[in-house]
Amino acid sequence: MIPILVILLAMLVFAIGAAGVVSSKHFVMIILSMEVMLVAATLLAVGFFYYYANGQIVLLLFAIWAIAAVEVIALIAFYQYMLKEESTMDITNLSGLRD
Amino acid sequence: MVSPDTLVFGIIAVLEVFAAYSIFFFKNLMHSAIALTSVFAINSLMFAFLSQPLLAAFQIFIMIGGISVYIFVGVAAPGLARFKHARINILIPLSIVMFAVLSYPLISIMFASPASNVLQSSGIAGTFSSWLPVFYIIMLLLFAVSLGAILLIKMAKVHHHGADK
Repeated sequence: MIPILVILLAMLVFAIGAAGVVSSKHFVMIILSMEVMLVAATLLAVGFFYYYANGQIVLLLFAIWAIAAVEVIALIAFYQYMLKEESTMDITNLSGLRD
Repeated sequence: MVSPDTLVFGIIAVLEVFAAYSIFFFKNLMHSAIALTSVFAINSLMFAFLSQPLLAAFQIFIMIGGISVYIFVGVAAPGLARFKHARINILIPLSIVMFAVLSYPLISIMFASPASNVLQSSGIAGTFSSWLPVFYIIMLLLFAVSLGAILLIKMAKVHHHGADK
């Protein structure tokens, strides 16, 4: 298999996630897009691990997984708070949270 | 002539890109969460294809066993009012432009051939490979059970509200 294909796939998935962040207004969708970007990061790390045999990349992978988990827990906390306060989920109106 | 390896890679890659786009096409957040879970699962398949079965199993444990369940139970199950999904007419061109910008520096770069790495050479991975399909089957069964549980709870709520009225 051509090595560049793994990297290209990771970049395409990352681009989809990044475009999702830019084109979404709902903050849950933005977090889901960021999860897609993290998935692309893990894929890129494993691709390099496959071709360059660097053991330290496993640590990087666990760091990425930990970041993804923390992000989702923060999402749940914010989401439950916003449901309770009946606040808007539209990030362009988040300044309303000050009130 | 396309080699079988490249063909399998292409099928997994198309599935992954399709699943990643479908997150933004669904209007129900629950369906978007299912699409995200399928991205995780297909990514894990890609790890297995790159001969990293241990990392594939970790991907299942952490991303699907942890993060997807959090999203289902904490975010998707309560239901979303005023849900605005992504703007598809911006998303697709923007993702293509970003991909072009990201991949432009890769032109004319030489790459190494696959090397044996720590997990492959330890012998654990070779033994573990035969167990990986079991993990995928259990993942699918547990995933179906959790989705079914959420649906049953929602149906019970609807009946309960109906009885109240």
